[in-house]
Formats: sequence, C-alpha cells, structure tokens
Amino acid sequence: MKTNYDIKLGVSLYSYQDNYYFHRHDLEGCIAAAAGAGAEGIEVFSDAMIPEWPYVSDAWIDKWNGWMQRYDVEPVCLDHFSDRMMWHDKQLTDEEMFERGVMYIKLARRLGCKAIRVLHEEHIGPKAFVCKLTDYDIIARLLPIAAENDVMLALEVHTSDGVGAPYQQKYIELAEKTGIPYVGLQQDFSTFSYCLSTADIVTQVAESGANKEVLMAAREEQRKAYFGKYDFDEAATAALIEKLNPSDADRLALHSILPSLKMPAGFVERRPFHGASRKAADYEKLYKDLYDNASKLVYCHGKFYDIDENGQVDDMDYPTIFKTLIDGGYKGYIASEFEGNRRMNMAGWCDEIEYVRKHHKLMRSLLGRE
Amino acid sequence: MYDSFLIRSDSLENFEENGKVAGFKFSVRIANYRGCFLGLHNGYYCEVDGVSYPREAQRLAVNGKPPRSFEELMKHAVLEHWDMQDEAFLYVYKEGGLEKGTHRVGILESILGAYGSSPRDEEYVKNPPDPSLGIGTGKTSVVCYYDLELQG
Repeated sequence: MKTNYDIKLGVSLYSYQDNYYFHRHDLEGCIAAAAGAGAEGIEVFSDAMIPEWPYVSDAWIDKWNGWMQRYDVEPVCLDHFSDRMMWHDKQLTDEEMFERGVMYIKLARRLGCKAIRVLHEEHIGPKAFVCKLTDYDIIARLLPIAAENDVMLALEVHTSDGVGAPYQQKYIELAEKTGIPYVGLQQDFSTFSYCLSTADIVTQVAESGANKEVLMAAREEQRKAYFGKYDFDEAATAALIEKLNPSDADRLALHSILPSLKMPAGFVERRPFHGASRKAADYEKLYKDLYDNASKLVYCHGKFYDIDENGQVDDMDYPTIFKTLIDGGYKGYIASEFEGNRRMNMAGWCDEIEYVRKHHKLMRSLLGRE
Repeated sequence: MYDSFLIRSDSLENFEENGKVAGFKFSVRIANYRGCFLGLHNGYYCEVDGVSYPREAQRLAVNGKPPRSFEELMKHAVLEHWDMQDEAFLYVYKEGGLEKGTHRVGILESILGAYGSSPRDEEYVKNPPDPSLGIGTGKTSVVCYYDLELQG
C-alpha cells in the first residue's frame, strides 16, 4: 500500500527464505506476504530469488513489474554481494569487482530499485574480513555510474560502533566532496543488539541440549544492565552462572557473551558477540551517532531475530531506535529483515510470514500509525 | 540452518549403467541460502554405513542435466547457478549398489566461499581441498547424517 510518509516500511525478501527454500511460497507468494504485512517496499534478494540471476531477461522484468502493480508495492533495493570468488581457478580483480558493481546498479535500475545494498569493505568492521570486499576506491569509481542510473549505493553498517565511526563517515565525505549524492550509509539495527537473542537460545536448546533456564539467566543480566543503564558485569555474571551448575553445552552457548566462563576441553575460540564488552556509555554514543546521522542515512534494515510476548524485538530497543531516527529526521525506508528463521528452524517450522506481520505492527505503532 | 533437510528421505535408490547396478544416488539440497555458481562446488564428503566415497566416485545431476563429475563442474559450469530452491542428485559409484534396507548416509558439502580473496582461498583455487577436511562448508560445517531406506 503506497503512502506519503517520510519513513516508509518495506520487507527484505531474505525474511522469507524458508518459505522459498521449502517451496511453500514462490517469489510472487513472498511479495504477496510482504504486502499482506502492510509493506510498501520490496528489497529483492538477488542471487537467491531471481531465478535468471545474473542474466535477467526483459520478460522476467515484465513479470516483476506486474507483481509490483498487483500487490501495490514498489521495488526499493537490490542486494549486492562482493563475491571475489566467482571462478574456481581465479579471483576477481578490482577491475572485475567494479564491473560486478556496475552489473548490480544496472539491474537495480531495470527492476525499478532506487538503491543497491552494497557489501562494502567495512560492513562489519574496519577490517572486516580477510577477504577484500568492495572498497573505497571501487565505490568512488561506481559513484558516477550510480548517479547516471539514479541508484543509491547504500553501504550496510553491521558494526558494533555504528554509523558514526570515522571509517564509515569517509563515505559520506566522498558524496559531499564529489557533489554526487549517490553513496550513503545504511543502518542495520543489529548494531544495537544488547543481549543474547531468544532465537539463539531456541537453537542452542534444540541443537546442543543446552538448558534454557541457564541461558535465560545470563541474558537477563544483560537486559538488566542495558535497561538499568549500567555496565554489564561479565565476571559477576559468569560467577552467577557457575552457581547454576552449567553443562558443557551451556558453557559453549554462553561463550560469546561470557568469555571468562570456563570452556570444555577442545574448545575452539570464536568471535565474541559484539555487545559483550559494550558499556552503558557506548550505547549512549551509538544512539547519539544515530541521531546525528539520521537525516543523512539512505536506508535501514529493521533486523530482528525474535519477537517477545509484548510484541517487542527481543534483543534490540526498537522504541529508542525509532525515536532517535524520527527525532534525527530520517527519511526513507526501514525494511524488515528477519533472521530468526535460520536460527530457529532446527526446532521446527518458523512462521516467517507471521513474524514479519508482527514486526510491521510494532514498527507502525512506533511510528504512531496504529 | 538446513542441516536436517539436505537429503530428501525417500530419495535413496540404486542406479544402473549398461544394464548393471553401478552405484546409488540420493537427492541433495544446497545448505547456503544464496545458492552457488557450480564452478565453486568442490564435491562432498560422503559416507554410507561408515564407508566413505571420494569425490572421484561422485557425480552431480543438477539443473536437469545428466550427472557430471566435480572436475567438469569446476571447469565448465562457472556461469551455471545452482538455485537455493532446486534439488540435485548425488550419484555415487559403487559396483552392485547398496543392499535393501536402511542405510546411514552422512554428507558434508564443500562449496568454496564466494567472498573469496583470502590467502586460504588463493591456495584453494590452485589445489581444491579434500571435502572431508570440512573446508568450504558455508552454512553447514558438520557432517549431517540421515537414515535412509533404499527405494525401488
């Protein structure tokens, strides 16, 4: 349903990947589900859900346009990936990576999308991967092409230090410096995750036999710290968990938030949960940076993994995130991106369509629309 | 995670070549939510009733085409995409095939990471790793086991 609101709501079709994988809904069914949730915009999940990817025919584009009309929605964003490894015997050079970027931009234009979600070099940190993704120099080369095609390069920020980090700000400066306003930052709400998600707890209980009560006890300490606006005491929480006689599965499941908990023999070190070491002041700064940058953001991913009995996202403070975006003057789309499916489907069918519906209801209420 | 769903439970069958049972086959789904370009598919670690079958004994029938070796896929299917929705069949050569009854099948797919560009990937483009090493397993990093009844 089309609206004139400054903040519009969409759905990334990534949210329906299980419906698609298990043939419960085809692409049209996923679009219909998004429209049914009340979405007005669709983010298309390029290589997964465009059957002709990457050589998309005009006939398919016609079909796509027909769906957009039928369900009264509009195309918003195409997901770009920085795949260097396209061929088994060679990796893409920077030149070829640039060409891939051009391909995404042109396809976005043909689909009617006003943006591509770019997997840029710093999308999960200053030096995110050992891999080299689409970096600053490639983005700079893509910028005029993006302008020519009227497609925004939305650089998705998943990091723990958010959109205010200087290594992200350099892209806003690039748009200002060149006078070509076709690159900007996209905030993924996972940056604001403050505790272990219940979706992960469901997975751990189903897969490794961890005890729900033990995991929930640790999560509760994180929640108390966040809402009480004090620093999470990792050592005290680890000591509290020790008193509950945790199993090996519990210890492994909690390692990402309680690195000092004793691990079973043979344990292999993993990357900690990005909120594990964050302090109350860090959250304050994250929200301030979000506020300061809100009017410049070009897209948002309303990431969520689970929704609690009160209709709230279980590990992110949506009321504060939304208030900050509204007060900061954000104009653009917030697209639901449900990622609980992959986490919870080992424990049984995960009703993505219902999850997205609940998520849209929450977002509408936070925008004062219901 | 699609670990429980990578093989369809009623898909295990023997297959014939030149009038003789040459091996067995079963359906496979890709564990990655994006699908993959087949040039990156490096074969499976495949184990049946405790016996493992190397990549050289495997063929993949995908996209409606006859079974192809992984060597062929890696060299010639670089622009061919295996969509995340599509079922393929893994053919495994074993003279006489499998006996009637239930068999414990374990698989681990080895698909080289599309992001690429790490020193490790540089090594893999020269020397594709043995699938049993658990390398290039994408979204599923453990051997997934299924108890399958031989059909037909």
